[in-house]
Amino acid sequence: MARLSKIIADIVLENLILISGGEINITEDQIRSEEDDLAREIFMGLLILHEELKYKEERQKELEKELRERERLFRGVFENAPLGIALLNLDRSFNMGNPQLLDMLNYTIDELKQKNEKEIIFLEESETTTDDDEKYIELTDKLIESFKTAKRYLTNNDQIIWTEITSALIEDELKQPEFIVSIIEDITKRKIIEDELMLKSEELKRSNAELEQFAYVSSHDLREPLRNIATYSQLILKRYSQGLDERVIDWLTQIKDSTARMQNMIRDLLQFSRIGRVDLKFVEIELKVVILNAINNLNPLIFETGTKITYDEKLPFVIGVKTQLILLFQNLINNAIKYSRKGIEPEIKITVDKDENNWIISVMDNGIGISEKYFQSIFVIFQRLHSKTEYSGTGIGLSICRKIVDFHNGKIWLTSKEGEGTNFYFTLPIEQKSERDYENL
Amino acid sequence: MKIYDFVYIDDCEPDYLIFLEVLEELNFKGNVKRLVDGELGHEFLLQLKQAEKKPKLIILDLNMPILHGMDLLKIIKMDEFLRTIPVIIMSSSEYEKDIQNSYFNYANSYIVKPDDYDSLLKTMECIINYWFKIVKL
Repeated sequence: MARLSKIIADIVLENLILISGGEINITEDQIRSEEDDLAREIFMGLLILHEELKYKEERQKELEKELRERERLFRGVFENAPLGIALLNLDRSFNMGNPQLLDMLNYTIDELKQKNEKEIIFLEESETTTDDDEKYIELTDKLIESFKTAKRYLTNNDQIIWTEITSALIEDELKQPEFIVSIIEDITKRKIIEDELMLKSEELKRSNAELEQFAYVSSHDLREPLRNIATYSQLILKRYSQGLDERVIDWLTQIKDSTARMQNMIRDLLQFSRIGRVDLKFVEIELKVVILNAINNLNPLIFETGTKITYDEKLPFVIGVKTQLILLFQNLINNAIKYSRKGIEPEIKITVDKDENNWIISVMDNGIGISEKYFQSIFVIFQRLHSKTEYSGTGIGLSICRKIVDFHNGKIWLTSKEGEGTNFYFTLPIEQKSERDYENL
Repeated sequence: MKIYDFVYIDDCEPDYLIFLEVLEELNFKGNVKRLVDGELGHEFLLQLKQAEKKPKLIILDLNMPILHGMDLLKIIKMDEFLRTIPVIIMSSSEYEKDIQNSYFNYANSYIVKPDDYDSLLKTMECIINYWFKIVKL
């Protein structure tokens, strides 16, 4: 027995240092060759204990490294996030703030820690509290998980900034509320732009309403006296032309014709002003239906002039405002008939082509043609290339065409040869991007 | 109080004179009462209601001072006694909103005031034919 205890004592002593971190220089073979069973068991135990300790120590180091790594990462996020981050105590006093927040509010971290979030909120004189007080209570009562709010802060250098804040609750290990974390974004610049935009859009709305009002006034108030002038001059002509001086009849006829012309101009102007109103809806329509409608509306004129109109057998469906597309074709056909060559029956050919994104529609005539130098100006409102006596009209037809095509996000242009004819082209996008405008019926 | 064929409510004097001229040319011998704004029109209609003398037809302009034609139309069509009188809106407005609103408020017809004398003559001839000869009121 003496031998055994001696051996154990030796081993323990020898290995104490080893257990605490060194290496045990005994191999398993050596242990197995030991004759004393108990000593062998103790050997074995020591070896296992040693391995265990070594493993625990390594694991500890690994965990510490991992923790440091995580801490570095979180600190990095906290300190480098392009947003302000605040950790608030439950009474909303500041516990921590990242550099962006300090920069935003112009406080040092020590100054900030003296403050309560409520203190730095900027209120108008008329306000006593922001409406998010309840939200913080709901958050700490765990009724909500997080909430968003927008409010103004007064910075340490007396600047008012607009912020957008998302807040959430942080709980301790026992699931008790511990902190509130807030992500704070300075939206002052965006707010200024938004406000400007809002102002502009208000202005636009107002000016649109004024325009609408103007259109209404012209449709009613301006036309009423005109109608009276026309009617009364007609009445005089009708009832009293017999016995009247030739010149008086001529003058009255001038009055009547001028007023009729002005009435037409007002009507056209009104029509022009109504294109592009926001309440118009895009629908899918068969182009053939549009063309047939336009032809139908011009039937008397087409018949009277012997105009021949041909169009493709197969015509696509297009997206647009039906009444406007009809008006567009009507104006183009009317234009082609009006500017036909004397003695030659008007022929109009409508064809449709397409490229990647657009339908390309062409309306070709065999009329008098237009000199290239007028290609742009013919689309200008009330621009006329011919005298009133030669070709009647208010000079608004093609302006209406362009406005309609513009409204449909298309383009309009022409090619022409004087004395041979004109070819008007316009495009209609195959798909309309704006969902607001497009409603599939 | 007599029974009126036309209660003509319109502030536009020239239109009214032409209206009378047209009636004369059409040899129409009925009674016409003209009121120069919506408010006076309303008062007059209330008097007729009191006397239980229903006029045959109301011709109503829209754009009038004091009480707008559309408001008077609403009043007429909400009144148990007056609502059965056909109301013909005669306005210069070709505004889709005005037209739809009028029918929405139970106007019986909407006519855009014709731009020339002969059209007015034809229009009035049709109105008289339709409302006084074809239709049973």
